[in-house]
Amino acid sequence: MAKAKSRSTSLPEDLDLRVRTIALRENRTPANVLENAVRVFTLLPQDLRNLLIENSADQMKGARKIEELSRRIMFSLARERFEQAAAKLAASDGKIDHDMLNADEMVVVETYGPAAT
Amino acid sequence: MIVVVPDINVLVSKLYADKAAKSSTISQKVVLHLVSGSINGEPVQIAMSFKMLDTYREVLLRKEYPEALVEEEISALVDMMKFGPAGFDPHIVLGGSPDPALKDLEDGGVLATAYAAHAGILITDNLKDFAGQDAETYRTSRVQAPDGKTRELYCVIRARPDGRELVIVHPADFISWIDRKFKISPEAIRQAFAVIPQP
Repeated sequence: MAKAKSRSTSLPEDLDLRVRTIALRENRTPANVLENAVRVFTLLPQDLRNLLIENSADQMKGARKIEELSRRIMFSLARERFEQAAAKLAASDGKIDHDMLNADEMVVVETYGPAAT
Repeated sequence: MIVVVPDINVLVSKLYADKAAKSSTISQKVVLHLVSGSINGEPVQIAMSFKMLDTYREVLLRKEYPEALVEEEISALVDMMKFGPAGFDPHIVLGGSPDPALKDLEDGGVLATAYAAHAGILITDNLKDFAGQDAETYRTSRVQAPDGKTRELYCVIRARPDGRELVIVHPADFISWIDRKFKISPEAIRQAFAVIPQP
């Protein structure tokens, strides 16, 4: 097991409250929350760290921006899982309905309205 | 933002196309647009109910696709909805109470899902079950399959319970319109296409 070093810092009250809330909600210790936060933060590239720090400092819109960024990351991860599962399904022994496959390859040969607005 | 409900037939067709090593069938293009997160620059939110996902699961298991992989794909699909721009939760539509206006209970459930999700677009190969007396129908295009068979397509506009409208479109028209940057809205469709009179 790697040696552990002890570091200390003072947290503003609101930040300390957030740490304790997460610890309580996720049944972890505050020290564990801090250790995780530092571990993730130190793995991020500097540009992203700066962007996140800048956004978190903005009291008005910062939390919303980080929330939106998190949503995009989670969506992207879900999409990756979806694509991987789809590829594995395609490689499995499942059967195909050839009528549906034929219908799926149809092409529009005539359109009856103006094409674009 | 556009909220889009893809019918089960779109997802199933996409899987068959993947399995047949096709690369750009209609359903593959539709799904590619939906999972990209935006359509022509506008954020897109996928919306499906758990009832629809149950039907998808049943179809794939009947076709002997491995259960674990089916669950993996469905779970990812649910997360894509949850982390979409509107954060859609399939729980909010539960089974999706079937719309009594439709004869087919399954299609009624799909329509109920679209209403509950405040969807603007429903993409389905099965247009005829969504047309009816209380819907407007517009003639849109003629398509041809590789075996030479042709089919006349149309789209359907239905009033949603919240006062807005839902466009029900065939996947081939959806792709054709997206490619041509045609804005898919009831107003644009009414202007661009001829109405099919009710029988």
